Amino acid sequence: MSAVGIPRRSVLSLALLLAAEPAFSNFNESSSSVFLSAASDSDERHWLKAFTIDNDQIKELYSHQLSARAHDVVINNMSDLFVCVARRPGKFLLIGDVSSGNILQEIEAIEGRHFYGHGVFSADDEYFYTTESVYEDQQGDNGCIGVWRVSRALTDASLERVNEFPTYGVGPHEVLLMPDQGTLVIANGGIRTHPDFEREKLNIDSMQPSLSYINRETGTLLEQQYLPVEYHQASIRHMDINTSGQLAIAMQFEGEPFLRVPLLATHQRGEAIRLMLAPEQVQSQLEQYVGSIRYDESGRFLVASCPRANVLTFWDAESGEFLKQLRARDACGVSAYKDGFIYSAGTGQIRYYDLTQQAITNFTTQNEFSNGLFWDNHLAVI
Amino acid sequence: MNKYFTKLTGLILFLSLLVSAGQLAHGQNLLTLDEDWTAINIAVTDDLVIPAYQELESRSVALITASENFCAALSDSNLNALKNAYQQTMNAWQGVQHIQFGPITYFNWNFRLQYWPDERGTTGRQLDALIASQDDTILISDSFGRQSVGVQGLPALEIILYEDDTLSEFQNNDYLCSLTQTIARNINEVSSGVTQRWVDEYRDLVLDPVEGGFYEDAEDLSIDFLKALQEAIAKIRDLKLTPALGDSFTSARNRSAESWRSGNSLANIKNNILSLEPLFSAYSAAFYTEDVAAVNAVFRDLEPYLAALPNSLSVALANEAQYAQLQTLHSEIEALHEALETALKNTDLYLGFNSLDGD
Repeated sequence: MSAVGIPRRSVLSLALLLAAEPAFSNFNESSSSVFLSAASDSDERHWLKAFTIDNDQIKELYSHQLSARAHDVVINNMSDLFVCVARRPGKFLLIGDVSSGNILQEIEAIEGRHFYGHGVFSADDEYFYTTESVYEDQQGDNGCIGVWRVSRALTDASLERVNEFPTYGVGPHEVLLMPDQGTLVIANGGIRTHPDFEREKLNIDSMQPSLSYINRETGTLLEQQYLPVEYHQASIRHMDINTSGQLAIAMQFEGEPFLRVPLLATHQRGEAIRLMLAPEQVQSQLEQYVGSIRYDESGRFLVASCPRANVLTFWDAESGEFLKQLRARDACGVSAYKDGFIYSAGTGQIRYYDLTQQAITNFTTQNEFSNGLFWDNHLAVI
Repeated sequence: MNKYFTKLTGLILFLSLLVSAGQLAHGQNLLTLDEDWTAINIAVTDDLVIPAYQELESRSVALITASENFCAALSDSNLNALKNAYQQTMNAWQGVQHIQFGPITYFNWNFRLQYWPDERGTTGRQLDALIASQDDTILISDSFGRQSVGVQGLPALEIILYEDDTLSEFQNNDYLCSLTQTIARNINEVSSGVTQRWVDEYRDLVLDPVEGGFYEDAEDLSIDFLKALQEAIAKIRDLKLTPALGDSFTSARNRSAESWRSGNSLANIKNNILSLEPLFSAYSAAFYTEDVAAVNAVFRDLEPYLAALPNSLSVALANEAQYAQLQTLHSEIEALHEALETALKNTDLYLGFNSLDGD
């Protein structure tokens, strides 16, 4: 990625990013953005929650109780539909109206398939793609993309299963649409599971994660990238893409806990995967686990949430350099927002970190909304 | 350590009075002020954590001496003295093993002291390869610290010392002596490194946890200690007892236990629990009185079992009456975990959601 096109604000912030400790500040404004996330509570109930920020306060918009934990919430390009996807190895999709929160359709995975918590809309919102497992196939590459046609009426919408094609790997996790709008990129995590064994990982010694770029109309494999063989136990799970088509990937290492292994990388089509390592004293704290990864609005900087280390880590996506870490207990969900990121935590906290000001805003919440609530892995925003 | 407990007890009483002054509903934190959390955190640091690391460090010095004495004169009595020094070092480590944050996590120090559980037998395999190599250059301090963690710590030393015929193994292979002394020095280097970092750096952080953006606030640091407590209880249950007990008396597996070679498995558990109780007591002001009573009741229930624990896990697993005794111990540990979980749940202290069960 060239420096051309990077907003001046972001270039300036690189120097600021390396400065000292963060200050707390007030946001002092209201947002028209809608945030969506899965959550659980201390009574072990599971939820889909939507909220907005009003004068530094989190205001709940709507809330739906779920039968089990969900993972990601995907919002379409017209910003009027959301799809809440069941967590691995769950079998539900919940389609809803973003503004009213009305649930329009509940879908079960088709026979012999389960979801992995992620999906993506086509640029025209005509199709929705889900990562799935053909779980009775315990030998071959059983990753699968489910293709759903989106039907819409004035106040209604539904998904209809129309096709599926292979991901050319095992245990696909996140799927995203490339800027060319015709290519899907899939993180094949490499880990074999089966609903009969709940979340048990069945092939840690032989796992082979990969990135697959696939034509979304024909299912043709366009490019596949693997990690160096010594990192074959680094499960590629989550991704983000900037407008230049650079892909950022986040991994979870299933091998020995003491090995110094990269957990983040970037990839540009046609090139090799570029691995990114933090300084030893930071890297060794991460417990081989990264939760979510997001570019900032400029596409130059990355945040990677590391809930086991209770930190957010910040990176320069252009140079691949580690910039800094920010303490954030049990934070996992991250979304690019204004000059920084909004992040959600298993502690129930929602905060905003301004990259340019180095300032944290801790939003207050209505007590009954946040008390005993654990925000799940991902936070979506529109 | 009695004088420390007196100081801690005074603090606990003071904070309990502070809390009982106001009536709070479940789901709220009893301690809200940074200075209240910091008062406990620094007491725990000064009275429990640093002394425990200092104990480990001093035991590791004795371990070096015992390894040198044994290698100067290979004899049964010197071997027994070395085994004794090893067990004292292991006992000291078990008294602070639960602290899995802060300096112990730097530079792989935790794994360099003890890589366990070792499900793939990494330690034995790498130790065999190292001994077969007879490579003295690896035993230089800097070089040894960069070797696989499996060969560096207490489990490696245990394998070397608790062979069927350790004395003749040493008599026939000079390399074992060099290696044993190197491991002893390495254990000392790591434990003195951790102690030093706590004294010189981390103690200051405990006093000012927000400095440098290291912690969100004093409560955030307290949660690290409480998490250490709860995870250690889960570790005893899930890793130290459950696999060894197996599904039934006939499927018990002594070799799944920690320190099975030296027969220290049950002593380890006892040392763990003895170190966890004062840690919980230190934070009791953060919990509701009835919850504190419930956790303390389980600690009291555990006392007779710990006092009457069989010396050897392998013997106990082969004896039905003693096996039943261990099953009760397992249930008591489970009860302790549940009581603490309830206590935590009744406050607003969350140990982790994404960090414990992410995807």
